[in-house]
Amino acid sequence: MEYILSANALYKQYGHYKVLNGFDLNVPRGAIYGLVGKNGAGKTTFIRIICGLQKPDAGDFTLYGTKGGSREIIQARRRMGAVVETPSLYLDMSAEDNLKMQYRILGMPTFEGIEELLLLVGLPGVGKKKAGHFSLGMRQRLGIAVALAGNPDFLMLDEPTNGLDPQGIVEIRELILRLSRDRQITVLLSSHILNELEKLATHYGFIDGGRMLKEVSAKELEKSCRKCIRISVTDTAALACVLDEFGAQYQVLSEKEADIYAQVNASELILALSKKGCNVQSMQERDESLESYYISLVGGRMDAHNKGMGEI
Amino acid sequence: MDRLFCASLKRVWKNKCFWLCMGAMSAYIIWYMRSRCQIVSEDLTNEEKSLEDYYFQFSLVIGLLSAVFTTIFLSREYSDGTVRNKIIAGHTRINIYISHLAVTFFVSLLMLFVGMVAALTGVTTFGFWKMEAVQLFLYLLIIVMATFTFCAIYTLINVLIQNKALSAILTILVFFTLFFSSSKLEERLASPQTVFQDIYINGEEVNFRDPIPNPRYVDGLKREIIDFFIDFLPTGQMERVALLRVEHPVRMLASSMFLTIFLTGLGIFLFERKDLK
Repeated sequence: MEYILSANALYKQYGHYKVLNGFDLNVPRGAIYGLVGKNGAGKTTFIRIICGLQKPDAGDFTLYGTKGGSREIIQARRRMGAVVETPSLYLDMSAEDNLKMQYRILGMPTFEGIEELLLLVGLPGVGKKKAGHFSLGMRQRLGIAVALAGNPDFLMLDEPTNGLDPQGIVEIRELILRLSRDRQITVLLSSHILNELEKLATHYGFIDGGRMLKEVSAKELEKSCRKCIRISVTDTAALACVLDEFGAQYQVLSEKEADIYAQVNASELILALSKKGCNVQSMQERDESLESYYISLVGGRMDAHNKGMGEI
Repeated sequence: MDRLFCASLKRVWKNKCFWLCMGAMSAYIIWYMRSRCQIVSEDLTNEEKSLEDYYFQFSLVIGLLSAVFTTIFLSREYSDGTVRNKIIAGHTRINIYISHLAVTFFVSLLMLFVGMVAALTGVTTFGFWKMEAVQLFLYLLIIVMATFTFCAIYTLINVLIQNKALSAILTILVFFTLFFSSSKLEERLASPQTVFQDIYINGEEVNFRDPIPNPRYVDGLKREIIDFFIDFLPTGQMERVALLRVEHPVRMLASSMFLTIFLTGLGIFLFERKDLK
């Protein structure tokens, strides 16, 4: 798999507090990568390091195959856009002027495409309005437009839906999906609003205490979070035989346990199993969400609930 | 870097503070020259005054106006977070730092130019300069170099301190500290070598008395050191130019050059290592 961004054992310390503690990450090309973690887990610090705003104490990363510590990383950064924490805008300038500024900073020869960019992010007809008079959602979208000014193929968004109203959240989500689908832009977005990420991400990275706990694709996650019935029987071979007859999907976990990924009539199943001399010891419906998956990953600690998970 | 410089210049034209500073410079200098013209025209002593006696007044205010502009213009880069766009767009920190310095210096030069033009309102009363062209050029060069030093100091503060309020307070504080320090030092040097001691006989002051050495008079090495410090500080240089008391122009220019290079080097060194938020 081709990775646009890879981090290898990154360390960053503020005073005695280790923000990144051997952090690893791999963002595949074309993915919408959701970096999930509670507040203070190290998400923003990681994004700042990739953007060149901060330097890691140890470890390295590669962006488009270019090492973070090399001189060429400056060239590589020109191919990415980012909105770190709050959108970086001159609030005393209009939306159009903000984009023109970014075009000048990037050294683009003309201002061609500014109208299209405003249209793309859902800000048509407000080009002359000062960014300071924008709502939070409009600023966020203008911030994304500024990040898109250089036609990047990799976009990093740090908590893009923070502080937005439900309508704003939907708009940002649709914008990210549009960018990924229409422009094939790889997106890394950090968030702790899991139900939002669930609707977007194709890949997930779970970060806690400055470490990557697990990286999974949405498909893998879906598999592990799939609604199922965990059944405990005396003979899984007999169970497999019955389930095959029922045409149900299942996974045998051990000699006595299996997961059934289908709606089966419990009475019919028990009856069929008893005919084969197999007893059902227990049946339990399992429905693991991204949230519970995350909690189980971080160990479901109470402090996680109290500090960061309140917003999940 | 030229891209950053050009982009910042475009922002300058739309910046209210820039136009306010330009207006303040021209208004103050015109007011000052008009008031000098009035005083001189009402003066009956017939003491001959020339344009240069008042012309360089703009050198005294450029430090303050430059401080105000720099702190408002540059601190915005942090408060609005736009400095991040420049780094993410692939500009090196050294380029960002130098472009900031270049913009503040360019704007300060514009303000100086406005001051120079506004000061010409005194021509109607005083006529043109009576000083030699070389001397005039040298004085202007000292002002430009000292302005560069001011910009280097202010850029250093505003690039390294991300807190807008703190950087604003510190920048203005630095200017006034330098200004009052050099004024105080100049005052020490201005103390006369001898003073007249008042003698009272039966409660009446006797007018004829011999001068006695002034205990506040500074001489020898101490005087040299104080003199050097006045020439070393940009505020001291500006004061001496305004009062036409320039004795060591080369020393002044070398001091400005040293301070500008040192402060810019230090600023770049620290900015390269700074974690930006």
